[in-house]
Amino acid sequence: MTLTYIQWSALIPFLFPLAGALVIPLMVLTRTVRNEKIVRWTVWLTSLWVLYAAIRALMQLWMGGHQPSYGPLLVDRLTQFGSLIVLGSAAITVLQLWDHLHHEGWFKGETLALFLFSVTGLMIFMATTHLLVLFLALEFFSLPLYTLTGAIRVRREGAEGGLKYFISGAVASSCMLLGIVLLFGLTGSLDLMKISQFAQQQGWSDSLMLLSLGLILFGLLFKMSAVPMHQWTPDVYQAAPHPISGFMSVATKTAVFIVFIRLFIWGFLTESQGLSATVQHLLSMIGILTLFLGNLTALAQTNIKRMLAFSSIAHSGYLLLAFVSGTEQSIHYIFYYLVIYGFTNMGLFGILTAFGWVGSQTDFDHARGQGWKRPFLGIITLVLLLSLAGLPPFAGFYAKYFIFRELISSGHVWLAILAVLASLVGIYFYLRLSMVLFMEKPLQGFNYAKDHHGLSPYFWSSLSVLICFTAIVALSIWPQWTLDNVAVPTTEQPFRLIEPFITGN
Amino acid sequence: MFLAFALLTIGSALAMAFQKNVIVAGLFLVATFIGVAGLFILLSNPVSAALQIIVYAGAILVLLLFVIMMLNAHEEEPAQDDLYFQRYIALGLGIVLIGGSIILIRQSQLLQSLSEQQVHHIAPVSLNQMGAEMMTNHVISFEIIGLLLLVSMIGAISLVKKRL
Repeated sequence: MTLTYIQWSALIPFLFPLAGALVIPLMVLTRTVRNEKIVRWTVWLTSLWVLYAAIRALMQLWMGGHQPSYGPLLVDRLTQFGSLIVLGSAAITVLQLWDHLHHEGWFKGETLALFLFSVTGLMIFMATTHLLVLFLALEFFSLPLYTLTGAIRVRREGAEGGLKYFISGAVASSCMLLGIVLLFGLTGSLDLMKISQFAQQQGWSDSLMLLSLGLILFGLLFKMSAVPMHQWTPDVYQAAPHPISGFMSVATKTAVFIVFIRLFIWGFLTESQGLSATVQHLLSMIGILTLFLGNLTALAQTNIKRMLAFSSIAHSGYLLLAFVSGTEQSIHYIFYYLVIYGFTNMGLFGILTAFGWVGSQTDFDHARGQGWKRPFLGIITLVLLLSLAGLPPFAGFYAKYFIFRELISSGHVWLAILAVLASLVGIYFYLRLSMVLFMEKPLQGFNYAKDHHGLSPYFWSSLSVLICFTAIVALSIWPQWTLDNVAVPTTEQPFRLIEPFITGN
Repeated sequence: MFLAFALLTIGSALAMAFQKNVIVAGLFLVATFIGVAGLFILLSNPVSAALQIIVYAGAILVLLLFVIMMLNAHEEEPAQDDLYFQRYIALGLGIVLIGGSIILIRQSQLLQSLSEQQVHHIAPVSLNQMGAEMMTNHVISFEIIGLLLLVSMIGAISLVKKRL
């Protein structure tokens, strides 16, 4: 079987991280301790290089406006946008992992290999238009994440978090599989295009069709940690290595929202107004619950990672609310939000490593007065936190403002008011962390991170934090540019124009 | 025929879940696999049925039993606290789920129309067809499954690897 040039160009972005993931386990097959350092550098640089190569391949597609497809993999603008966020956050994560893994006292090559597998899985997850591939990709990116969560065996929470994530994730993905199977049985096809066509003729009124839709929605809501299914999030984020938590909060969430748009907004819900209204009601309820529960529970946290986990739950709430207004613009604002949220959260999780808060030393008490010790990192933290809280001069404000404005103009004034109230609650705990960093004195008898001269002892994670900071500042200065050049082109040529590939069923 | 195999599958699956002795539970799992294989034959797919018996009942289960015997964990460990309260909630929710799904299945008109369709005879799937299908139309899924197995292997090894 020979592939055409176009098919290759669709496959190449997936092949780079995959090749990296396949080569790295072979690279670490060394038994001598002497050349361990060389192996570490090689493995680390390889993974950075494959991520860079994939980003370049995608950038070329994006710049040229090409949207190739191969089989069930459709590399349209939506996939390209999501993959760029995933690959970008993956590159930042790899930078941070160098410091974090050395810090924890181990450096396994397999960690990076599993990580790259997860990146590939996320990209396939976003690109596919075939429900079987969708489910396989879901497993493909989840399995490495389960393992990575429990990777640090020295820490007690590691195994616990990994196991919790594994079991609850297995329940969610089996629910999703059941939904997919029901849909296959009823429509006779697994192809998204054919299912949408079938639904347009038959409508979604049938009870089993609705059930299957609900089950698929359940699986997606679990992965984006919306409220009834959010319990795993804080435990898992706390257990995982800091950079991996950041990656999960950014890349997984982005991928799930992209898939949600592809499946529901562009696939199932077109031309069936009745169901769209029901789904909107459901989403507005889940969104508001997620917002309030996330923000209110975050108030009570004494651990920075748990607080960030609850804040990421709350941000899922904002994103879900954006779907409620249901206009073309609101989809653009979701993309815009995802970009800003991605940079901010990658930065904040990176700061944990850059400050040198190893392992479980991420309580607020460990952060006391650390802002003065490293003023450079302290100020970056402050800016990122204010952006996440959505205070005016920073990018996070525009992201929230656009979503709220769209809610009001589509007639959901009450939802907008509730969302603003919830984000006011949020400001408190974001500011509390800044207060702790700058206003409180270190406690006696606490094992604070070692005193070093200079900005930060951890070069690579500081570099990654600096990158995120620069991006946020740039986005704060030119918000409209991102909206026009990144968010709006993403919706060009949506899925419905593409013919289904699989002819058999 | 269908009822016999379905009952065999569900019954032995339930027996497996309630069995305290792990090895006996493993043997019930074999019965479940045989029931599923029978269902595959009824769907005129003898290839999957054969694979089910050879791979699952033959290979994977033997491996599983070996592991259980090696770890010498025949009996289930008693739970630390019994969680009676949660048990009742789970029972209630389970009844709601089963009842709800029965109602939904009975309400579904689409399912009704499917069952009223004429059943036409389907030629059994041959190994040849299945292989060709997997390598052409479903090649991406096929590759991903392969990678999935590799990932789980690497993940398992990295979780238990001694020298870090």
